[in-house]
Amino acid sequence: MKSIKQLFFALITFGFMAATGSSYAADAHPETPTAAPAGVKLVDAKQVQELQAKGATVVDTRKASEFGEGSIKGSISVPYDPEKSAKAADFDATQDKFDMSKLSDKNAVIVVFCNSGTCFKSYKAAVVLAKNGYKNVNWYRDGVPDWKARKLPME
Amino acid sequence: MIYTIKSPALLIIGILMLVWGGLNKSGTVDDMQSYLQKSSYSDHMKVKEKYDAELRVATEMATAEGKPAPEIKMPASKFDQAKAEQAKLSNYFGGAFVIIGLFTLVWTPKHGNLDYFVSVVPGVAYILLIAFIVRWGLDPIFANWGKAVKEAGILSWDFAHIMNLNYVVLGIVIGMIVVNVFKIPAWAGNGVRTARFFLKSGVILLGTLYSAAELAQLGGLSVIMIGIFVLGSVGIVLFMGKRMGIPNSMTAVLSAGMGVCGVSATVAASPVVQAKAEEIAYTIGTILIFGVGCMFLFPTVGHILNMGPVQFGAWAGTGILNSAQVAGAALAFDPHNIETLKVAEIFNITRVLFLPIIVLWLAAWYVKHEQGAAKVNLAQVVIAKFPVFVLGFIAMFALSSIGTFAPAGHYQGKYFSSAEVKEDKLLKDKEARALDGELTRLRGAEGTQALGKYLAEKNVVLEGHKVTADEANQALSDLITNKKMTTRQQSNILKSVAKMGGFDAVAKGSVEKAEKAATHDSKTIKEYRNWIAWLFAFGLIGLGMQITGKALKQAGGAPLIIGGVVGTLKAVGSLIVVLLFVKEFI
Repeated sequence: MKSIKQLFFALITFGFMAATGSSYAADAHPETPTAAPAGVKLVDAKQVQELQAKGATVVDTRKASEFGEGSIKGSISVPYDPEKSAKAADFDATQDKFDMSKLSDKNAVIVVFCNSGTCFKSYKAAVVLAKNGYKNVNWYRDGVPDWKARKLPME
Repeated sequence: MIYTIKSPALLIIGILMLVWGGLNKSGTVDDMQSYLQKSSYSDHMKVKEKYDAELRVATEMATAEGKPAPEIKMPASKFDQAKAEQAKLSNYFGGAFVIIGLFTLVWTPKHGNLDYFVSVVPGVAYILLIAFIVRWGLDPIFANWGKAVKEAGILSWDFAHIMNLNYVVLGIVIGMIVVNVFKIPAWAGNGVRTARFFLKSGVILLGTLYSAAELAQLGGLSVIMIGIFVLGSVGIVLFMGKRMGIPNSMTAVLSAGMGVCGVSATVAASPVVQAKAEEIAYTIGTILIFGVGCMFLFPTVGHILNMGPVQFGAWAGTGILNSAQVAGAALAFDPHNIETLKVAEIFNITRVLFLPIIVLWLAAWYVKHEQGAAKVNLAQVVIAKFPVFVLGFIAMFALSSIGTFAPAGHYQGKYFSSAEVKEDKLLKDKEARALDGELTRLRGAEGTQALGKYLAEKNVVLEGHKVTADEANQALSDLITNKKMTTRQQSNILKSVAKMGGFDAVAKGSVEKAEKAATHDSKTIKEYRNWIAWLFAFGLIGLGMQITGKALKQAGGAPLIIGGVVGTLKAVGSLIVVLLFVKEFI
């Protein structure tokens, strides 16, 4: 039966699509590690507020345009941009750009953040800072979505 | 004669579609879809992160107060919408096909219209199934592969993009594979023949995307270019045909096909010059074989030469022979943005409008060279053979130009409106401060000088004069005062200024945001664009199914040589003219 052959062909195509799709999907959208990298402290929204009250520098690592749209009140923009390295804990920082000249004091308390979960920018920035001898790096993993949900001051 | 062929094929296709609809609805194929639809999935992740955070915080607060965890529903993301759209289309069509499929199996067909309509459905379902696979599966798979290969450093260019392996080319190739490897099954024959109808419907709908404001910009140029190339190629074919001793009727049909718009021109010219069926077939074969080559070659050349959408549209609309292949090449060049296709179609339609002139010319030429030719009523032929879909296109264009679908000044559904800027899209204080900082810098002596130099270098022009630093600063100052763009001119100037080296990143983002906020996309036209893409995908798969090895062989011999020479001359000539005289208008 010719028509059966045709439909068999279509079925194979569907199967091919399904196979390709699922094989790629597994690691297409990785999430950041839930633990802080070496030399960095993991903090939550409450701790960020406390640190900020004590004069910590809060750093938005997202793109400058995202910072313009609205960010944690009192934060400064130091984009981790362009971010070309792989979204993984063992990323190659030499492929990316992160301008540390705005953070001159290596002993100052610094909090880095971006969006939560799949955003690697703040994780990578924290790693780069720690490797470059910054002593007090804090990583606010939950980032902007969490801050907004808590209705904390934005600007 | 009874057309309906009893076969379980339609029923099976319907069931396959329903299965796909169900899988999408239940979320079983989410992993696969997240790979296929990368951009809408990243929107999904944003929506999900926001939702997760809100849920977590709300739960925390409720727990602290000793209340049960609240239930919040996650808002639909673009990814959810895309899946819902696939499920909807699959379920509607799958359901209809299952019902008609069952009906076909139990029904005893009787001679008449119902029999004919029922006989068309399996073939339509067959093409639609392939269209689903191509648009939802192969197209994104190839796009992802192209990007992955480039990112992995295996190739320095995106092969899927450069080779134009998108749904248009893949659709035609799949159509060609099906017809040559598997043959079109008997039950699908009647339905496959409707492809041209869908393609022409697509061209009619395309009229909704056009508005007189932009046609005026292209009008004069397209008419002059088309005039030269159409009349020129007809003349050359007639001259070469005579020299090579090919029958007059053959030469005349070929000249119409090569000069005007391929198949419909050939068919329209054939009665005028009393062409035989095999001559028409020869001509169509020549046009198709040359056109297929062009369709694959043009977009590649276009990308290599880095042509803009207007340039490529003008070139394809002039140089490629068949309406369908013009659309194919334009879509292949730029599948996501209909800008190129629209320009190509304007040139294409302008060319089709030359048909009456060519028909008159050929009639005169034929009568002169063929003594004793029977008198043909010219007026009647023109009225009877003028492509009806062109009239439909013109009507849609007229309706679109008077603002039926979107404000009359729209450009493929996109239009500028300051009044419609939403409250939450107004510039925030922080953004205004960043812009203010830039304004102060640019107003300083050093800034003014740098800005003036930049504007002159980039040739930023407004209403016939070069924009000065003062004008640019005024535009920026207006933006800060109003917190939004007020005129299109202001938006255009600032778009260029923001790209200047050293412009503050936050300020640049703010300009881009303000520009986006003032540009609106008509929902109606967006809907039409989606329909047009489906109609073309459907039509082009069907078109591919008409390109058999036999049809390709038919193009051999003298007509192929003439066709090849004239076609190449036209393609190269129009390329040079386009590169010299056509600039980006938008």
